[in-house]
Amino acid sequence: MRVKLKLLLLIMISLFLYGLPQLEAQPIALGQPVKGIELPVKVEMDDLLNMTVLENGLVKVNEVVKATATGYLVLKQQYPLTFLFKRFIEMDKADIELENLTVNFDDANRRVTASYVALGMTAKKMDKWVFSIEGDAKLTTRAGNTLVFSKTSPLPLGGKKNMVITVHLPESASDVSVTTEGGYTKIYYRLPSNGLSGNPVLIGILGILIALLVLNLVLKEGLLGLPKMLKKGKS
Amino acid sequence: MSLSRKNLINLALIALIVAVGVLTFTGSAALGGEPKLDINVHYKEQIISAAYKVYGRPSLKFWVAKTVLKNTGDVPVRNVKVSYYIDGYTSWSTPTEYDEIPPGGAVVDTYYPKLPKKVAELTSPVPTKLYIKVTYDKGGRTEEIVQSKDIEILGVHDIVYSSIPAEESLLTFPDVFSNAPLLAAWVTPTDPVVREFSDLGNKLAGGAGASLSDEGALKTMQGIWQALLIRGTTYKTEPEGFWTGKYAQYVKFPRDTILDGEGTCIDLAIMYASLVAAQGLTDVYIMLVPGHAFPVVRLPKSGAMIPIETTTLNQGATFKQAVQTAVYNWQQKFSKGPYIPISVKMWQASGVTPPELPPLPPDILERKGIKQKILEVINKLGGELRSYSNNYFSIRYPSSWSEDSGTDDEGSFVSWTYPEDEGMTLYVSWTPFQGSLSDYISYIESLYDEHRMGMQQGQIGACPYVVASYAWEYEGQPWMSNEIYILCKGVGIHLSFQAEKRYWDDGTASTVWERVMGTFYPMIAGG
Repeated sequence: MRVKLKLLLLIMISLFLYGLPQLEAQPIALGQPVKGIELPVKVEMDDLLNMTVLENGLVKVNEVVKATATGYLVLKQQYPLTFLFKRFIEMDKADIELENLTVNFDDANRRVTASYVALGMTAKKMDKWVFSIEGDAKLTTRAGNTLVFSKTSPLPLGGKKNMVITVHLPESASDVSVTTEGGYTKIYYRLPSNGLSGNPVLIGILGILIALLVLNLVLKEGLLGLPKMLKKGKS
Repeated sequence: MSLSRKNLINLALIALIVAVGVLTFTGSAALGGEPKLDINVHYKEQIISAAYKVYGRPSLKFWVAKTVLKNTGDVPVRNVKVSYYIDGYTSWSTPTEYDEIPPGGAVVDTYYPKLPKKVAELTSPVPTKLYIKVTYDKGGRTEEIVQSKDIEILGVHDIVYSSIPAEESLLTFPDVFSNAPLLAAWVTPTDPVVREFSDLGNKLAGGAGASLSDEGALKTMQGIWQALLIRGTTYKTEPEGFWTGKYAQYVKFPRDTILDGEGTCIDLAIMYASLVAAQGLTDVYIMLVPGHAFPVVRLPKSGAMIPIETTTLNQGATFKQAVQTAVYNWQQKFSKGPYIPISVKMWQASGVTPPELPPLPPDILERKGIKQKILEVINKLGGELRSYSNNYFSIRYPSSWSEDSGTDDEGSFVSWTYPEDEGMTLYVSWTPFQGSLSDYISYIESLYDEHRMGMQQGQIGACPYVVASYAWEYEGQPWMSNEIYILCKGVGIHLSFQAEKRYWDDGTASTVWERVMGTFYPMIAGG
């Protein structure tokens, strides 16, 4: 008890007395207790990303950012308008390119929803595609070509962002594997070769020519013998 | 030897298959399947050389160039290679290869160059060019496209607060300060000049262990503040347009602010953050608010965030007042608007690290007379504190100061005086007193010819107390004092710390006061 009172007294006296000779020059009243400032140090946000990977490598994203009451207040204070929050998303994903970005605030549920098309998340290397997620994301579930990852990122003031990333690979994707390389979580997958689907007319012609070549090799007299064979068959 | 008809047909078919195959896989202008690649380059018009290491760390996303390649044709674009080069500073980068971009698809290529150290030696902006080379297969040959962009490598003290092109900027606070995290590169706790000055501040605080406890941290922060006051550090207003984010601005490294003895609010904030970080208080922030900046320190145990209004150095404010002013400003103004807290710890851990600064003479603080000034004050403080107690109070005092005791008009007294010129005295008297506290104060004040400057009242348990400050002249010299009156259980205690005004002006007296006051305890208040 004595120790507590002593401490209290010392604190109070110290608060009252510091710098009295400079009193007149200062805008603050003596005796005003010194406290730190309140910063949203324990803000927690959930960031739910639903990503659909198209066959051409573009990724359609629906993102939902949910926050605690404090977190949402801070977020709205810093980004009161949707176009400001757009910039927040763009800055966060500065190493890719976003198109058709739309943002909506859902104040009742303390969440922000965004949708966009992401360019640069996939690339084709040799005969495989690679889809990259920044950081070390943990694969939590997988059902067919849908993979779910989780990841936690620190916020600058000490809070954290809990991310759940659901990736829907194309239905035709096969040979799916997940690795972590160079600070990225990477999903490798194969798609049916799309080189042949580049120009249908040319592919058709190519097919016919190959068939003719095979026929020419198989037939004893080659393609020129075909009319004779047909004639023979008729008789 | 002549070929049979069958073989001739075989050969013809094979030739056709090869031709059509090539057309199919590479595309053909003749058949309307030519690859079409749309190239859009985003780039930084200015490279901030103080933070040059940042550009080579992809995890930070501060690319120098970002190239968006879109396939707008009907056939795949193959063998795409992208490389970059900054004239005079890098060689061509190893090309990034993209085997195929399907129709409608796109890739995004980013350039994170390892810039040479020499950029941190630049003292003014240098114009140069960024080259981007893209190659891809087109109609059986390699198409090469080279673009060049005018860029500037800034001087090592320069920062542009935003790299968002003017046409894209929303002119909001986060846009105007999109480069704010790079300010962490200006925080240099390991710079020998910073370390030495910080150590002097810690010595003023009595060698507190800053990172061990909140109390130790506050003492250290206070000691560093005192050192800055003793050094005569002042706040210089920013030039017009400083906060617009449009132009490169000159930001001092902490060593410059310490040696020059002046700085803008951002200079002072960076310097103070560096000085406390040098004592192990590494969880520091530079808080950017519209038109202003100040440091914030997180205490090691409670996690309390302590802001410091470093511009009050100008007014000779005490550390406590600097904190109170910062808290007041935060509560009244800044917390209601946009702000950017730059966590030095987080950003430096992520790779926003300072450049290599040129070595300075190891005795630079002495050459500038800074070290001697602070050591002189430390000497005046009298080294370690020594305890004194009786039945009425306890206190600690500078051990080398001359002690006196006896009785005078106030009653019994004990005093300690700065031995060199007797310009500072700590005095405590006690006497039985019947009457009110105001009677006691009137009695004491009647003994002297002093001008009271301010007064505050309070209560400790059943004991009222008053704190007051006074000014007077003695032998032609102005003096000032801080005093405490306590009346408790029929005993009046009067504590007075008086010093010549010049000692208050140079920070010595407030340093002694702040050290000693925390140790005073009137034991008759009970407990």
